Amino acid sequence: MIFDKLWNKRIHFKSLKQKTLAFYVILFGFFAILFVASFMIVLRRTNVDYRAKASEKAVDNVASMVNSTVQNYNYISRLIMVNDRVVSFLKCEEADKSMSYEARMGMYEILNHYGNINYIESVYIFRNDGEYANTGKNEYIIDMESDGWQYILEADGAKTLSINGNGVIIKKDGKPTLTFARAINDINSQELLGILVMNISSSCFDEVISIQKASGMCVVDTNGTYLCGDEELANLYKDEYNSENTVSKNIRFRGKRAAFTAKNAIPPLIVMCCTNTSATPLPIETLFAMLMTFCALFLSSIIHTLFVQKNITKPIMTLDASIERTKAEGWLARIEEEMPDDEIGRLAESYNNMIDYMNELFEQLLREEENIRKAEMMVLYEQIKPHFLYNTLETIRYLAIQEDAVQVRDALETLGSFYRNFLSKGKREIPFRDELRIIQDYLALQKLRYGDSFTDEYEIDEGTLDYMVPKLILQPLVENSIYHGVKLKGEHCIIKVTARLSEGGLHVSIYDTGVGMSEEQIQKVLETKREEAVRKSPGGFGLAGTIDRIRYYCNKDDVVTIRSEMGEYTEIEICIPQNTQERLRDGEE
Amino acid sequence: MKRVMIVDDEMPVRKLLQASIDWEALGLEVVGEAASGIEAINIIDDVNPDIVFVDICMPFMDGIEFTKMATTRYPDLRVIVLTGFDDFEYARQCVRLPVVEYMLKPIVRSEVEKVLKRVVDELDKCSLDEKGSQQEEPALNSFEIQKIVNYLKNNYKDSTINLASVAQQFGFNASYLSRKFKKEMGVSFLEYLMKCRMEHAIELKKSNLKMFETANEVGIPDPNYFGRCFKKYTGISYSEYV
Repeated sequence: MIFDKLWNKRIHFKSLKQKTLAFYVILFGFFAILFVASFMIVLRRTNVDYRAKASEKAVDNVASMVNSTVQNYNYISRLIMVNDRVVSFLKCEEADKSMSYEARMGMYEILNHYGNINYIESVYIFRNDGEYANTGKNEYIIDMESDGWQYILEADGAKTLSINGNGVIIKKDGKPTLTFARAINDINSQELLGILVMNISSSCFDEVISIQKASGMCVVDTNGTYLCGDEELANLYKDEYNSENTVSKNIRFRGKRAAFTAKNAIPPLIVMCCTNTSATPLPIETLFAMLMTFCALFLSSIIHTLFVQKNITKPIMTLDASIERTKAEGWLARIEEEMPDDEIGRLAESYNNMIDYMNELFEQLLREEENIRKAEMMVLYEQIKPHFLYNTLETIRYLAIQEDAVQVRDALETLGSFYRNFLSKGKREIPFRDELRIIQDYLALQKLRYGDSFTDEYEIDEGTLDYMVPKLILQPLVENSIYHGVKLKGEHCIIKVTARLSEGGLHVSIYDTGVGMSEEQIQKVLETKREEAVRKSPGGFGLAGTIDRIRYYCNKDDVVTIRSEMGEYTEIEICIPQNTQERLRDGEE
Repeated sequence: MKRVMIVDDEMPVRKLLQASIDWEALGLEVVGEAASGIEAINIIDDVNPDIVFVDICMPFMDGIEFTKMATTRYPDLRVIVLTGFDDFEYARQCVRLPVVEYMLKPIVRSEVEKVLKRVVDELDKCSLDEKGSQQEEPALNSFEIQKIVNYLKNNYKDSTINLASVAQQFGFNASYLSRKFKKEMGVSFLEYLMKCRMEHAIELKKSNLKMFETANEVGIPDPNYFGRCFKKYTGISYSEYV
């Protein structure tokens, strides 16, 4: 569920570059974790091995010590066995006090001769009748009924080792004692003379244990009875440790991981050891090898990144940038950049093919649109039925002449002339001469409607008359002068049309002494697009629409200038460049 | 005889309409004409028409605006819209107005006559209904008249005020107000309003304002009508006035 949340919240990278980068960051992170983890595993493995070895070594040391110590005591026991005074104590019929004293002295003699009496706490010599002589203080309880005697006798003169003599002899303070015992036989007759029991202090191994690098060591017998060392460890004894082979395993001791070793030193003594000391730092070779592996992985992923960058990411980004540019520029451009000769190259090629196809479709669409427009214009022209209109006007004119209505006759003539030029057989461009005629007729007819509110003046250069202009570009301008200049002023005004040729082409200016236009109005008119103009004043293009139309025909933005002073005048000047004519003619053909 | 007023900015159209129809045969007479909505609002109280022909496309105040204003001020007035614009947007706006008919130019006599007959019948029916329902007029003393005079002095720049609007504002019957006003002030309501405007116009002329600017300033935004008013008031045209 948490994973789901994270997945939903994951960052969305928009660019391929970011995605690859994020991917490699994750990959490097993964490598780093892998490296640390393997380092830890190796370190632990090494630690365990080290501990096991240390533990084993400690056990071996102690075991060999135990062995050699036992050998020493064996030697001493033999010396005691053959001592004259001890033998005579055992052989006499009745043992009196002097005999036992002699035997004790004999034993002390031997013990004093050897230095390690420190650990031999006492030696007991038992006669067959139960009498005994002993060294050391009388701090032992002797159990004559114990089964332990049987064990010693069964060895038939060989040495036996046990803790507390398997119950034969127990120290009064309860401390465990290592008991070395054997039966004494007569050298000649091999008859049993008595039993030797040697009690060795449990602290005889303390020194050797203490110098081992171990967190715990102890010596127990095969029954698990504690002799010396760490008593807590002794409690962990199991029968399986009583084996000829060394037993090694990992345990938890006092809450810590530790290596455990148990070894049968000399029957029945078993040495147990537990080690948790840490190993020395990782060997430099291992570390180096791991670092090398990590570097190799790192390097290979960098090489991979570069490869992907060069062969995939970069071409795709170039491709994307090119498509993006097409989007920004708003027209369908081909991808011109060099592309690799692979799937990406083919992708670019397919894209280019698609663009070509679309451009072709657009052109086709435009051509069809143009054809439809031409056809519609012809239909419109036919609908007006110009012949019927002209003939009817001629008839009414004749009637007017008959009635001597001179004004009516003239007005009808003007109207007929206006419509002939206005329709111009559906042509798109006409000579400036005809366009001028249109506005002269138009103004004459408007004067009839609105009375003597303005005067029209003309200043036309001869050369301009044959200049070809798009039809009906001036009529909306003079219409604008009347409705938005003259009519609002309430005074008599002048509308003046000037035309001249100059290097730039044909310059026509419409000047009126109407109310004028404010700076904002001029700005608004010049900035309005045709689509907006059509939407705002349905039924007529108006000034803004006409200006946009002139711009469209000339394929230039700076063809119209408006100068004005509020309350004084307005002058609209248009310039139709020379090359426009060729373009128009080409378009027509 | 029902009274007819024609509002159109083209003089030939007004004259043609006047000449084409046999008004007397329909029980009508043309009592006034105006060249703009502004002029019409100013003179409508004097003309007192029952039927108004109005063109839609006029400068300063178009036919739609005029119709809205006139029908709220004169509930009994019948408006016939007459326009050269065959345009859906205008027709749509007219549908919402209480106009009797929406007719397209060029005018066809038979159609106009048909519509007029219907309107006259309606008017006859209405006047029969209203007989006997004469309203009680509240008294109008000199103090009230003075209040109205002050109101005019403060508001003559508002191009839409006329007798009917002021009467409505102060809650008096228009013709009663007109009579009392003339008795109290010695001049008619319209003359007084015009006097306020013209006195101001003369001042503005002295500071060399253009005619169309002055016209707009004094509450007659139609400069053609203003020009005529000015000449009538001063005897000299605006441009020649010193």
